Amino acid sequence: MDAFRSSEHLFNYVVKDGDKLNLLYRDVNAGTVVTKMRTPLILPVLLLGFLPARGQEGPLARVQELLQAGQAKQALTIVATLDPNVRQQPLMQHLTGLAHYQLGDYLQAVTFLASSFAQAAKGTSQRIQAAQLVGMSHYFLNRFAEALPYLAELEGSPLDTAETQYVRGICQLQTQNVQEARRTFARMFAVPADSASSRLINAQMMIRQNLEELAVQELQGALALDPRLPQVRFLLGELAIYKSDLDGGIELLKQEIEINPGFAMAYYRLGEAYGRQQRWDEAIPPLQKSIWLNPFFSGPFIVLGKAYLKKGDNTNAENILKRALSMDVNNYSGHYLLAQVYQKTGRMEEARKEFQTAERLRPNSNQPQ
Amino acid sequence: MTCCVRLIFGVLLAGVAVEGNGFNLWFADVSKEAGFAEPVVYGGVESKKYIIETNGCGVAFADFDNDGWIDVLTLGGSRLNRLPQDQNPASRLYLNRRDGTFIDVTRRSGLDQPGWASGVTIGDFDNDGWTDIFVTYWGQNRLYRNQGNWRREAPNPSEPLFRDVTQSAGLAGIERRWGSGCAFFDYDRDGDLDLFVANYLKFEIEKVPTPGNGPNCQWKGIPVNCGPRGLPTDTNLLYRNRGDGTFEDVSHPSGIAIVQDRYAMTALVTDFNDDSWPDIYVACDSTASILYRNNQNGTFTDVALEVGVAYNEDGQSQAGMGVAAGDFDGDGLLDFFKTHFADDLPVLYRNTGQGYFEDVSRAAGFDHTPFVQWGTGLVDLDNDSWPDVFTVAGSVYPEVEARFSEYPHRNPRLVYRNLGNGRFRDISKEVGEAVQSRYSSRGCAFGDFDNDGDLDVLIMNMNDPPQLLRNEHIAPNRTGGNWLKLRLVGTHSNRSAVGARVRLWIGQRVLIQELSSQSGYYSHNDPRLHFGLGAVSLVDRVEIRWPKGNIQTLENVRSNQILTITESLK
Repeated sequence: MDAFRSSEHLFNYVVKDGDKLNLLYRDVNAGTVVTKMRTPLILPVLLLGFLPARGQEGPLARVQELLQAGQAKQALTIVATLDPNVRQQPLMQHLTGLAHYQLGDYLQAVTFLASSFAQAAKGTSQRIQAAQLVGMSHYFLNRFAEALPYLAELEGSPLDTAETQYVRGICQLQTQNVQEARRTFARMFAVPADSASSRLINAQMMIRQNLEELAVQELQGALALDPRLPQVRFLLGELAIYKSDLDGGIELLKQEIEINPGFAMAYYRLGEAYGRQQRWDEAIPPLQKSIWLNPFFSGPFIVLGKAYLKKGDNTNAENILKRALSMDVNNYSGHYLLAQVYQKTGRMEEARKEFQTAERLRPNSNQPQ
Repeated sequence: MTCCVRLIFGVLLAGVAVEGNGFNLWFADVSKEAGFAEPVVYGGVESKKYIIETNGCGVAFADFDNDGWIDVLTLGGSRLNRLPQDQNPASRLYLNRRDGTFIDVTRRSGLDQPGWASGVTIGDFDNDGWTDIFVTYWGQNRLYRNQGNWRREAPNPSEPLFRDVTQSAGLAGIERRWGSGCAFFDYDRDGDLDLFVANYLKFEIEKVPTPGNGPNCQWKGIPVNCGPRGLPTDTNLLYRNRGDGTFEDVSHPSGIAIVQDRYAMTALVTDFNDDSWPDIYVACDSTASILYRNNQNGTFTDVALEVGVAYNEDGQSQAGMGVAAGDFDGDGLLDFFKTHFADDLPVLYRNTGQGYFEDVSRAAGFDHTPFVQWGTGLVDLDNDSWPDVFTVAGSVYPEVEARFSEYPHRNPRLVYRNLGNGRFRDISKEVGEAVQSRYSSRGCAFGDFDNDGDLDVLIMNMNDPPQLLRNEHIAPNRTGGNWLKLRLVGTHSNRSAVGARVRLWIGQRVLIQELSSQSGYYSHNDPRLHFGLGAVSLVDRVEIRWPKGNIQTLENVRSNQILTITESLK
């Protein structure tokens, strides 16, 4: 059974959620790591030991088989034909909820699985799985407060995985429960609960959730505990730039480079910040340093191409952008900027093609990928 | 009359006007004295359950009674919990009394139908010499024909001033749509005004999740009204004026309806490529903006992507709300300025003159603000001949400020002075408390309501009375820049002269403006084109390219006058 098409769903959701309003990252050109790892976020919830063994006769076993084969619709069709008394059985309710969960119908999943959860004895596999799926369903429905009691039930269970901890931490952040979230993420990343490191990680998660104002407070707390912790000033610098405090952001990035001189991202953001100030000559050296430290990330190549474009150095702009696109062929910003280079050099047909490529690659584009 | 008006204002303003900001500009809030007391009702005050409550509506400056003084139209909304019949909010019409005050003639206007209004466009669609009104709504859009019975001695003074002719004009829709931007213009150059109507999205209240109950219903961890993302998009409309008082829906054959998957908002008609045929730029929320290029054969093609006005400089979509056109860099080409959501920056697209635009927002001095920006103008506020930027703002999530004070529900206005070198400077805090006053604003219009030679500002404030900011650039005991105001009357072209392009030659410079029927955010500016001239007292040449393409010129035109120019084919 592919119970965890939902895990793919989770992955997509998180990415989509980040895209939706995370304007912090909108100034960059959606640069991506070339050697990107496609992380399968698998939720190991196949705790069906409490169900009848496979091969047994009866509707329960048949529904279970279908769910394990990823055929949730067919499973629900069978459930619909059953006698109401059979449908009301706790295990059948559980499987019905699971089927709805597989189909992405989280409202229905909550209805059936919450019933299964309530009827199952504490500590049983059925109850733990029901808690996980109800918690996840609420999360997908953006009902963060409702998700939390169920996700708390997982603590110490076999389903207390990095992924459920992540979802729990996000729900805690979304309900403004900063300290609880910090503890959850600290456990997930195996760092001391009330440390500078846990604050740094918590702040990272806050930024991913568009909670920039909370992140600033959290990072300042980290700095107070450990003034030389790498990456804190980097994030504060990014947040300052996001709030249009470009001078403050640049200063923080320079401080980060002082204590963390091999950190390519700091040079990248510094170059980008200079670009926002239209200081293109000053933008180029840190972008080059970023590339020399990490030649596998397309972001600084693209901003460097943009810097040359803005300076009117169309030849260098074209070369750098083409190089970026050879590494990261699906980067729509790269194609969009290259189209502008073609436009400026009078190659209108090539420009038109690049614009169309950028459009095709755009997230949420309706055009075929 | 102008001198008398100035005297009166002089009394009111004693001790208010302040010099020395280097901009020689000051705005005074004269709303109360002018007679604007009724709030513009639009959805919930401290919370907004649905997106329909958030977008608000436009305002208009126009001379409805042809007396040479611009009047005021404010649109209105509604509430989700229905109000008693006698408290139903509606559009309001205020006539200019020519003494700095206005009289509310809404009851007699025929415009007092309740509903969720969005945008307004104004023009003389039947070429009878009286200015008509078209308003978009969630629900039925409406065309109001000006009956022309403004004088006391009119045959039927008790008759409404406007008559709803939507049905007879063929503009009655079958389905409930959410009309947004709209613009009268003569796309086929046959001498009468056609009509473009944008649709924001398909909104059915029973199908929209409540705050917090969907993936697009949360902002910074706070449950907020859902959308636009996640809600179904709609397509736009084009109506051809048959010349007999009726319109024909040509949305599909014209190619207008081909463009899909956009949340279309303000519509600005302008001839971006200077081919004498009007094009349409549509600011779109969270999706690519649209530039419908007029193909000169009754059809349009969206060229926003290749022309460079669909996205920002990095190819990312922005939440387009309001849009204005003007020549910010004095190169004789019309540029675009577009407003966006909080934590983003507005975009300034420079027209390169080579068939495409470039995003010069940051180079021009614009950056992120925490404000959701709506109505805007690229207009010369200090008569120095360089168009400045004025923008109004207001949050769509009133619930957020309780948690994050940096995202207030009510926001100050933003004023940027054009330095004449391609850059702007934020002078919002230097031009008067009226500009710093905080409201949740949406539409705004620019016009000279007191005919004193500078541009005043009318602002729609959500659930507060509209605001009239009087520009004190020209005021008693103050010396302002020279100016010239042109009122255009079409004879061969459409009578409102919508689409006319005017060029002024002053020394080495050429100033350019075009007469449009909607700009800013869902709003309509004073149709008299206002040119600041700085120290220049004599304009070398005025060239009018009328909507049908014919050119008319005047030479050695003196400054500081309102000049009516009637189209001549000679």
